[in-house]
Amino acid sequence: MNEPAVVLDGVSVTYGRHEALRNVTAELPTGAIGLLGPNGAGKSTLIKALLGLLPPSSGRMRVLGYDVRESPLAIRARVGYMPESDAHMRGMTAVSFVAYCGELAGLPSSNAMQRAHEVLFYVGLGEARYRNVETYSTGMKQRIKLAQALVHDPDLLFLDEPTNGMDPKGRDEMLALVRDIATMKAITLILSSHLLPDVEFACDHVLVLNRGAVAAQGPIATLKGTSGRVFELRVKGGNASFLDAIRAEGLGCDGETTGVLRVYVPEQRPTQALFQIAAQHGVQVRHLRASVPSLEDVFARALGEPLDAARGKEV
Amino acid sequence: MIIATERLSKWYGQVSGLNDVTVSVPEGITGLLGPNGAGKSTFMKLVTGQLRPSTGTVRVFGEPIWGNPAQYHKLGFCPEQDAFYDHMTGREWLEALAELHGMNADTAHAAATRALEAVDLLDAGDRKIGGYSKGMRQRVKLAQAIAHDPALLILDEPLSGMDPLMRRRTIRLIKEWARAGKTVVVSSHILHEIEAMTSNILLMHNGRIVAEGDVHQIRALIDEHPHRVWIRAQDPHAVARLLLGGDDVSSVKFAEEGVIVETAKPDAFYTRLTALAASGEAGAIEEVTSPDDNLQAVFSYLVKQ
Amino acid sequence: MPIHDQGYRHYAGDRALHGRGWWVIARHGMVAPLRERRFLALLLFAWSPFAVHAVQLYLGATLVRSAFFVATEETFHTFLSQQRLFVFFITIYVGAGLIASDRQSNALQVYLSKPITRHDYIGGKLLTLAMFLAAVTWIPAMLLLLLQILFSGSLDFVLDHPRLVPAITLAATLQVVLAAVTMLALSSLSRSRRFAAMLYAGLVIFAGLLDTVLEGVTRNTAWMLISPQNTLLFIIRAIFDGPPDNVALLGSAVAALVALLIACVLILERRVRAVDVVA
Repeated sequence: MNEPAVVLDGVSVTYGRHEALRNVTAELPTGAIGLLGPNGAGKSTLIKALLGLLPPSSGRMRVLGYDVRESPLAIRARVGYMPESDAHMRGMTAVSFVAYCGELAGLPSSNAMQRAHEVLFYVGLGEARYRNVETYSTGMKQRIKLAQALVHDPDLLFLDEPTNGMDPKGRDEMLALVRDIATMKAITLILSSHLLPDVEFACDHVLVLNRGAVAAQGPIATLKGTSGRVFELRVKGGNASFLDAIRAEGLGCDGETTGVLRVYVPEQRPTQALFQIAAQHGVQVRHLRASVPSLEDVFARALGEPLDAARGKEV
Repeated sequence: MIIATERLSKWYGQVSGLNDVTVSVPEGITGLLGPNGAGKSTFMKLVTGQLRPSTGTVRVFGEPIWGNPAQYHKLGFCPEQDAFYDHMTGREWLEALAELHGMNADTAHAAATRALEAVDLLDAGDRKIGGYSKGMRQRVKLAQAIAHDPALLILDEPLSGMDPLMRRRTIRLIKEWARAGKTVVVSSHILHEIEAMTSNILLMHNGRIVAEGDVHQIRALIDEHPHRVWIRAQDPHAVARLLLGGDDVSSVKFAEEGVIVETAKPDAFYTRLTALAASGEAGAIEEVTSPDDNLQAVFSYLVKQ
Repeated sequence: MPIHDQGYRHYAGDRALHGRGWWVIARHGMVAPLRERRFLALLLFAWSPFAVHAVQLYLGATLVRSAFFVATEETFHTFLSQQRLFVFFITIYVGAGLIASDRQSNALQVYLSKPITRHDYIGGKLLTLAMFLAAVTWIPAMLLLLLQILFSGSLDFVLDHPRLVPAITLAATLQVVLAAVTMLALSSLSRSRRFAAMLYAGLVIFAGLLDTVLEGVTRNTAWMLISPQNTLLFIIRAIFDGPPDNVALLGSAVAALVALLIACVLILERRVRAVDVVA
């Protein structure tokens, strides 16, 4: 199926006097797409508009082949939404809540109950599914939001900050689930998050919004572009004479204060030279990698911000 | 030592918050990590004097902090919760808090201006907090933590709600504060951001300290867990053959365009690898990385189920 | 590994609401209070006047031919009038949290991202409350009529009073609709069910008291218009007893209730929206 999952054509959405989306034209293919942008860029407005909850002042939108203006209910029956903020219903256990959501999406009640159990196991809440949702921890609340979005087996899933408030282990598990959903279960994902490494891990496409307009869109790999001959280098036992020796060889070097050196190696010189200098000075090379622009650089470039020359990231 | 605790425990009725914790936090930036429920917020509340220790002591700048309001001006706390007087403007709120620290109106005004400038909220300072975006609310929280120029900053998830560029700017800001001589304790679940700020960590679990210090040293100490090293080379088989010759290698696996080596003796191994790459015996070696010499791996290993 | 691969399968079964979203919501809303013992007790209590009247009808039809026990149209009027106490309590018990709880726990986001419309949501919630209210007004009233037929052994009573069935139905419907729509609108104004309950109680009790005082002081019955409860009672009396002398007042009463209902509907339309909710 090569038809794009979402098509936006000149979409504008106005909130009172504020233009939240301005003439947005984009095509989101099937797969996993990251939705990025500063606060107030229009990400949640976009999601609401695609769910048919906000009528646009101009433009057309198609989701999964349906026109949003004509068939919003048909779309919502095939789309799952995992909201950012806490959302549950008073006094219900996990199974009954998820089953109810399934019924609201059109499933007959017995099927909804079966699906609820299955989906709760899938998201890792199997043991706790008979407990009242109000007693859940943050991580569990995130999972149940995912469960209610999956219960009706959607073709498209909107995830808004899925790892919000979760501890590192929970984040890993959630991201693994997200990745599994996107790759193995053939469900298209639109992931909105401020955590770029999460997006980089789970998605292959991004759409960057800024002030209501599209700032960049496309496959992550294409947007990143090719790297130059800059290497990240971390050593053990390095000292001033080692750095002098590197510079003496005509290889530029900076970042000594951060623990990760950035070495500029001209095209003709092989990396062997670095190792030789290290061996000569009794220094162990512990990390050597060609520096690749990160998704953060793509984001910064898209927003017209200056790139951070000395990133100072300790790896 | 800036913060020093001695057999510090805190319990709430039956529930144990902190269990016999003896730790010292040095100058500079320290990352406070741990799963939810590990005791991080209890620790932070004890250090900022909001809770009274059940047993043990906690000293900040050498003096006990509980019931010692004279010391409070040395602390700045940025909590995780979002609770503001929405009808106040950012500036009004900062000035009110500054005055609570004992500043007179003029000094408070200047302090508020400086703080707003530092977090890039100067123009928005005269708007009501109720109209701020999530990122702005977070920034004004940070501003109140530094307005009175404290020597010790305790920050709980300081980057939450911020977009990627603001996160980067805030990380830079925190590092500037550390360079200016402040001590900063940052608690966060986003490990790669802690890594970007510091390599000094304090890892908690179940109310106890699991590890403290430099993350690489901690990693080196976890001997039982062999280091994995990924090497991308022109001729992976040649590299493998030559590496297997030494006793510092416990396993070699082929993957993509290189080899993944496990070693329990990292010093010996890396020295040999550097020499091997320098001599060119096994062909060109293009990339060396250790996917688990980072905070995430240390964390996962130390905080098992 | 957190991923249980064998756990998630794609769903190939039936999935169509066929426009019955409101029924799903109503069904779930009705089941929840019935699980609570306090509520069952309340419902039982609400049927105690029915029991008393049933005995009265029995005696009136079979044993004592005294005017005291014989059924008249007035019996049913009185019955419905008495039930207003239970209507009040059930409305607050079931209705105060109907929308307020959802607003507090942010459940509206979940509802509105499903293939149901706002009107499904409002309709379903209304129906939940309306069903319980009908169960303590219209249903027992009609049952009493049925009992009357059974005890007297003939349809004479119904045939002699042809307007009775429509009168009961109209009066009960007005009671139910007024209570349900007003409570639902107030519930949508707040995040706290207690606050919504207080608003409703204020509207009913306080307005009623104010009306009584003002009528007593000024001797002008037009003040009843500030109390929806008393306006409703006035209209129901007109339904059973025929138009009053002051027909203009009846017109104003109807107009006042209609205005209240319209205001409530407008409130509901404004408050149940996706825009503030899906944030």
